[in-house]
Amino acid sequence: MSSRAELGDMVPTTTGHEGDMVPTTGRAAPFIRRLLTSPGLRYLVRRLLLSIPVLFGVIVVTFLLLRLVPGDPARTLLGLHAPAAAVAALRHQLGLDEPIWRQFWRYLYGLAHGNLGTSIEYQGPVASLIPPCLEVTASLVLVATLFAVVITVPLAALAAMRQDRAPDHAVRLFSLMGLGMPSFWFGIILIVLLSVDVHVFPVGGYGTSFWTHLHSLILPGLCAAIGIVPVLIRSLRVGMLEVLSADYVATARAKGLRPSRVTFVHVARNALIPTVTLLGINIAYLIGGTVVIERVFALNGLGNLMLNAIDFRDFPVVQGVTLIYALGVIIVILLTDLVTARLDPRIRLK
Amino acid sequence: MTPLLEVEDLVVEMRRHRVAFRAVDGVSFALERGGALAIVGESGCGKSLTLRAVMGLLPSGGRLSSGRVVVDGVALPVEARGRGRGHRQHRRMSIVFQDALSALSPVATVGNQIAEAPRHVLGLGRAESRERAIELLRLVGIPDPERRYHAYPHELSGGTRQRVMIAIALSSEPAILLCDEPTTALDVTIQTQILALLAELRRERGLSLVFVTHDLGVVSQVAENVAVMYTGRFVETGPTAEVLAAPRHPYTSGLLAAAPDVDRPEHEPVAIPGSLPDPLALPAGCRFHPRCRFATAECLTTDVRLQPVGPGRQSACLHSDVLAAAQAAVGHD
Amino acid sequence: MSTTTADTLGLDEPEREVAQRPSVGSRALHSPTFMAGATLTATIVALVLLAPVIGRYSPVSQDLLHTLAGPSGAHWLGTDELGRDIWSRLLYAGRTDLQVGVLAVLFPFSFGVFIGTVCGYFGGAIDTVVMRVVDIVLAFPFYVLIIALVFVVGVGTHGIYIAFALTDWVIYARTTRSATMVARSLDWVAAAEGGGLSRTRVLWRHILPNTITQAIVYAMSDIVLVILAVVTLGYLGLGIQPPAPDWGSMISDGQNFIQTNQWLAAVPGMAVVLTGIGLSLLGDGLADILRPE
Repeated sequence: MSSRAELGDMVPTTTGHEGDMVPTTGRAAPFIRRLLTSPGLRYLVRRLLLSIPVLFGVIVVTFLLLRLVPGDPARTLLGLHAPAAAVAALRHQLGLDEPIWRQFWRYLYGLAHGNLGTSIEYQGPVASLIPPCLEVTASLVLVATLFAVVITVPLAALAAMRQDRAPDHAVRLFSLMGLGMPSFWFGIILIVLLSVDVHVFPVGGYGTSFWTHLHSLILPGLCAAIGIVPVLIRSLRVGMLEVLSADYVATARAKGLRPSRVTFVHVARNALIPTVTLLGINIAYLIGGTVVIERVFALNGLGNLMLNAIDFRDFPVVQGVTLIYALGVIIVILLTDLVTARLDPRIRLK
Repeated sequence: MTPLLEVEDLVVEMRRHRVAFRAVDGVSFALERGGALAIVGESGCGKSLTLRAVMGLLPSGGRLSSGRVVVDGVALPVEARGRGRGHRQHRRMSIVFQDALSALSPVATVGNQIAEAPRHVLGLGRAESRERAIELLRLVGIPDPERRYHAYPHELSGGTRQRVMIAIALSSEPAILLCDEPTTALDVTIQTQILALLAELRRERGLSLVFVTHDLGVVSQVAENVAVMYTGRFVETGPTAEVLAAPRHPYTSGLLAAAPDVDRPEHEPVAIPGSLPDPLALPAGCRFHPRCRFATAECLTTDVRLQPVGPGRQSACLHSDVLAAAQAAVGHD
Repeated sequence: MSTTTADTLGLDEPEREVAQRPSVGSRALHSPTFMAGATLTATIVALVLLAPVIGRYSPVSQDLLHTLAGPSGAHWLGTDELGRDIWSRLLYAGRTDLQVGVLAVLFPFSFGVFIGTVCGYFGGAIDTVVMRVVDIVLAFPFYVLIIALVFVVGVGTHGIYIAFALTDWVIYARTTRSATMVARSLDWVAAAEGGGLSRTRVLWRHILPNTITQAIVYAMSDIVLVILAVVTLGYLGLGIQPPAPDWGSMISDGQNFIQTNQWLAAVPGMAVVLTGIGLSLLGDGLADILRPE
């Protein structure tokens, strides 16, 4: 008899069809045929198609950003006191003197070719400014997500398993305090405690090598994670309570399985679903929270790029960065949906 | 012969609105080897909780405040929260739940769920457990078991799922099967099939059965003995045929009168007057007295318990003989 | 006397006398969460409202002879780099931030509940279009959209109101829509509709009272979110503009002196945290009280 929980026994197979047998041979042709007709692939395609209107809508919104204000967009950018000549020059530079559908077409055309406009400040393509900043922001988001998961899951599980007892109250108190805490303020406190006097972490910056990158991202990642951890704990705790009180847990215990097996194979595996779902819901907020974190920790990511561009009234950069952020969110949500579908057999067949 | 299962004075407390009340209030019964007991009562009388307490599977908010469960002469340790399943004698009992969809893990195939107990509790190897699971699927009447092994619970029909539940219950090789309204959510035709399956399992494997239901029509098909439950207590027990033919508690006869009888279409169902009392505000004396036409002043003050009223029969009514006489006079059949 | 009804072969879901649920007021008083939240929030609100009285200085009056002073009898929390009294600034900033926070939620709440109810009740083309718009808004990270909007529309309170009006309504719309769809499918609503009540009446008298509680509970946590955003914008210099005091700009000013005078940045942050705790407790308490049994 094995003594460890064998998750492999309970991992769902990829087939969803009642009656399909899992093939025991490994020949390519039946495998490919199965892949093409599999509900999993159909789900993926369906989700991709559903993202298209949202993507289009996002493009339209970023296009319309400047035109939200009544009046001349160029004047909005330069302010009321700018000379008329400068305003006219900017209008021409941004192509605002053309009819609006022409502008939109140019915008779309440009996007399709990877052209996000020209930066007013740098006088160069916005698209070339993005990649190094994207790397920083993406790494930060990754580290923050990791922190969020590592902090939230054990705490939520603890609170759920000891419902209404001391650990539950402690966790809920902790998450309550975090709900109103500005993440940037938390960052400042951390910097004071851990960087200024005690040089455990750098005060800011991104570092030069992979390991210094990681080192520099720990404090910012933690701060960004704090933005969603309280909400995540509250929601996940509820989700886990539902799993814990589910009848299938009673069935598992009724079989006579060891408590550790019940916990890891049945409870955990089922609790994974709401965890991933909740993460997907909150990730957009997490991503948005990195903007101010980048400023606090002097990280040259997309957020910092955007804030600097605002100081210089550099609209094309603001527009381009906003679009990239939205694109990122759409992709992440798509990925979360796919992972959830992989984890939850009930979804794939809808 | 010592009975296979003995339950003595089981008391289960539940909390509602921060107040605790006794959902199961001193229930005792014994089950012989190969025997079957049906527990009948309306929703909320505590019958499901009784089974869960015996199994050590109380939901949160429940507490086993007293009582003994003895399996084959061995008393099981009592865990205050009613959640212990550690003792090896626990494994001689299995439970079948009412809602198979929520009682089966949605993320694992039914085959793997059936094979789990043989693999991790009985210690069989992977291939053997798989074989055992397929055997069990066949045993419970599921066609094409090798294919159905890989199905997920939500892909199956209600009746098939219930059969899977029974297969899982059998997979740990129990001697006692506790069934918590296993057929309530099913169509009548499927219901009959499941009941036939249970009867067959009893015959061929010598299983003992405790069957909880609110459906009187099912009782005579399932068990030779019946216990009628009201507000957490048994109010009448005895052989099924006798109890149904000549009930010795007004609640039992009320239940019988309220159920339409297919064989006697001229019999109009008569509802029991009044409604179930709130468990936090139970009537004084006999709990059924506000709804009973035989109630006397004594019934308002005496807390009645089960008394013998015949060979193998008990009733918690002060006037069970009055009831018997009334039935004899009317020629109640 | 009411009777128990029997179904075909047995008895199912009988009527039962249930202990009466205590009234809303009574539940409120007995909920420790609600009482704690209400007390804390009320205290904070009272303090900031009384700013002119208990703050002993104007938040903008400078005293360049007594800059960066520690707590003393004259200045309870000391002074900042321009000699302004921190305690007074804290209170006045709280006034502004709380006021903006609550006001900024009003339009999203009203509009979101309205449009959510319409979508949930009538469905159809409006529903599809609005839900797509919701998806699009939600595709932008919250802060990114707010910052971009404030950039375009202009900084300061007016920019804040517009930015939130455009973005914050979506969650209200979504939750109200689901709640309305659920309510619509309930039997008693169908009965009311079938009974000849006009749709508006059904909506107003029957559906809305039930769905709005979810929106109200959410609004409490939304106010916390909005206050956080206002404070963040203030920190970035995109929010409430100086010289009007704001907790966020107090933190960013204080950050310059972090090595020597930590409390300049710490104190406003703690004020935000306390406000967040109070409002969250209040919201949780409300959720407990208003939860249908």
